[in-house]
Amino acid sequence: MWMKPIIQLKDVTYIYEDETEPVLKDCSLEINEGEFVLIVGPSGCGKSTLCQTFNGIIPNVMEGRIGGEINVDQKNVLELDLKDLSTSMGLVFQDPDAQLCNIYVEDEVAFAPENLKVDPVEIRGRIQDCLDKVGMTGFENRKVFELSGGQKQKVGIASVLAMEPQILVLDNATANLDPQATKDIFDLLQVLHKEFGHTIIVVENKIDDIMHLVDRVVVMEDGTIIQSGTPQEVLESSIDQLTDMGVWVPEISELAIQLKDRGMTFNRFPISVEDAAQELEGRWRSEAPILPSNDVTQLQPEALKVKDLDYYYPNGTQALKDVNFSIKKGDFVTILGTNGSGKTTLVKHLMGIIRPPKGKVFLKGNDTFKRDLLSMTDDIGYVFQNPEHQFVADNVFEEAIYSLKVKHGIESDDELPDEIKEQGVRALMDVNLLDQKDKHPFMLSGGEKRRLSVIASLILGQDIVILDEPTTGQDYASATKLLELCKDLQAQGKTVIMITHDIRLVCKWADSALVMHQGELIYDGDVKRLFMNEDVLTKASLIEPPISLLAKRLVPSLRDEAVITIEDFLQTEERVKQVL
Amino acid sequence: MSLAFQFYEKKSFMHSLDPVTKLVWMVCISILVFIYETAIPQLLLFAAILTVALIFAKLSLGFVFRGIWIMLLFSIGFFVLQVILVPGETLLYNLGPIAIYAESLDFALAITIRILTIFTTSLIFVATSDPRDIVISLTQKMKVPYRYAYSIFVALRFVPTLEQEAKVIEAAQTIRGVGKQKGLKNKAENLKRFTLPLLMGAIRRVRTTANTMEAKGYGAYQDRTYIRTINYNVKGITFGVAWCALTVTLLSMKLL
Repeated sequence: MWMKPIIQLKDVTYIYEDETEPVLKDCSLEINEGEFVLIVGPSGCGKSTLCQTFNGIIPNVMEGRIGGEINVDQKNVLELDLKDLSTSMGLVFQDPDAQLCNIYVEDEVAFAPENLKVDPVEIRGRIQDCLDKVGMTGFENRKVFELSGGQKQKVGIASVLAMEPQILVLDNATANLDPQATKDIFDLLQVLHKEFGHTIIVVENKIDDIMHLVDRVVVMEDGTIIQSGTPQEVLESSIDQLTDMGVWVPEISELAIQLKDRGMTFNRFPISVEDAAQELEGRWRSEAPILPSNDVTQLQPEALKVKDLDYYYPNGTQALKDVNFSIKKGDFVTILGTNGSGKTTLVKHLMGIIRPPKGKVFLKGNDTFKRDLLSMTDDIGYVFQNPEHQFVADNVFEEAIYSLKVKHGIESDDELPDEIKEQGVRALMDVNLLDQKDKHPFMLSGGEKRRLSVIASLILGQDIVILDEPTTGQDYASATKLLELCKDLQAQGKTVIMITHDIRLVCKWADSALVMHQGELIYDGDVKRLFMNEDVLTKASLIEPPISLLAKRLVPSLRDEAVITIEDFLQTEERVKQVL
Repeated sequence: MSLAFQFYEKKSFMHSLDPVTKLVWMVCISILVFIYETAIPQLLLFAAILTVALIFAKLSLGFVFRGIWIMLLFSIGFFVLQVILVPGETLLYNLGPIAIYAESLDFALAITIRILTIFTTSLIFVATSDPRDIVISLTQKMKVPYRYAYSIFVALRFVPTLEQEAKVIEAAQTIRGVGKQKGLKNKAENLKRFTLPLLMGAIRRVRTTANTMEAKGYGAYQDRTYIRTINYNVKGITFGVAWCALTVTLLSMKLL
């Protein structure tokens, strides 16, 4: 097949204004017309910057020094104005609220062609077309801020499609979406690629549902492109390197590489459940594995209990409907459900951010309705979605001990007691932040900010911690570090409650799950059993972990508990040997 | 106040007018309030505006009150001060050492109502005009360069998002113990604590917004095309002409 390069980068180096280190170092890359490319790399490796060079945002809008050559659609990006490039390329970002600047959907889609002085009649046609492509026909006169996150991103895609670009670039566009919405966006990309022939470039952290759709994977580290090839090639040859770099890899490939290490050979290196099922069907023993059951938490006292909790938003819609559950001390509970299902509203009641009515929420057996938010912080630590919202001090050390100072009434210029100093040092040591203790909290990396906010929220020694989507948009390395921290807390006997969309993390680290659906609690129990409950999975649009899907395909007799981690799947050396 | 002082979607006579006509109307009102310095005409004018709000814009009395209540508080204070401080001749009554004159009462009432009238008029304008129509009118009819008109519009678009974020930050910091320490110095510190994350978030968001807008060809040309056009209609023209005629008549009566 004759391939025509549509994007050509030659030795591109770029330094942001006011910085000395280049973000991009000698990047060379060619992307062909009609190709579907996935760019991966640890956070801060320059993948977003790379995308912004394609359409001239760098260096036209973002100033800085740039060297090398960039050609897009036979146009020299460095010599042209943005307006001449915008029809070649559409760029969609992570934050849907920041990139939609109009009130109505129709205006948003019309915005770009209007700016480019397209005839209004033609624009009307494009609005119909583009909304149809993304499956949002009928939403023309809806207000953008009333839409769900997934719908907003679809409008975002439609709004760039309206420029009729050949190339579509999505820079972490699904990071704020729940798994089902993410999958919908990926399916949409496949349609745009296959049926409409768009060249598609995607930067992503969550890659389980997209890896098998792409033609090529480009790996970046430290501002350079270190590898490029088909997903199979890249994963088979350097999966360990990717994991070490802190990049998410597909769970199935992780399994495959472990099997390969043990001597198994594949006709084609599996990257999706489908692939793996084909490779392993007939070779894998089809009996239900015997899994070790762990019911240690049964004897623990109750940490939190919710009884018949209802809640209505001020506008009258019911956010919580007759919710009942209890959480045992020392449990690692995860709260799952689509965006808008009531998860955050529920934990706000636990914390007392929304004050519960009498007889609804019990902390260690005591009703919390009388306690104000500040007094609740003696018992529960709460980590917000955006760690920056919680930062209150000028340096990392002060941040860690802030709550202690408030508690003991120490003014900012008072001498610090040694005891408190020690406690702060210890906490920072736990999360490897001691050497950065004089930095401003805002200057830390995304992962460091989160870890700091966790220890700062728990400095009072609370034995319950609530985390609201702490791993959103994080790469594998920092998500894993955060979860390890939570596991440590659990090992100290603390109760961990976490809202998350990351099913793989849930399976690997959590013990039990609460599943919310339209304000109702539809599942309360063990994580393993959850994935045998098809009804709940469909209702809450939970995406099953790939390993569980594979196990169900291979072992149809699986009944009670799903296989949710690679370790469970492999179980024992003997079992693996039988297959080989 | 922020909630009441924004576009309120409804079907009414005022809603169906184009923003330019309503601007003309606002100019008329502003002229009228400044040609009278006594209470009776000002009261009549205010009554007229209130009628427009209640009947022609179909806004409820509660809505109008929510929109102007801060101004109302301010005006009452202003009124009291004026009554006491403005000199007069005809003594009405003595409140202890303070003498209240008929002239000062009349004048105070007039300028207080004047403030309320202007404020209510702007409230009607904002509540009955879709922001996107205001922008289109500014660019299409009044020939304001669209780059400027749009910037205001985009800034307005982010107000609800910022409001939401401010609420989250407040809760997040209360949990950390902010607000427990008293004293002026801590209060100042707390203000900084609160503004920093809000500002950081806003700056980041603005950067993304700027990038996307540029990438979508914003400002690429001096002008642009529009899928919506704003047309003057018969109702609007009648309304505008009627108010202009009234203003001119009253103005010439006053001057001649």
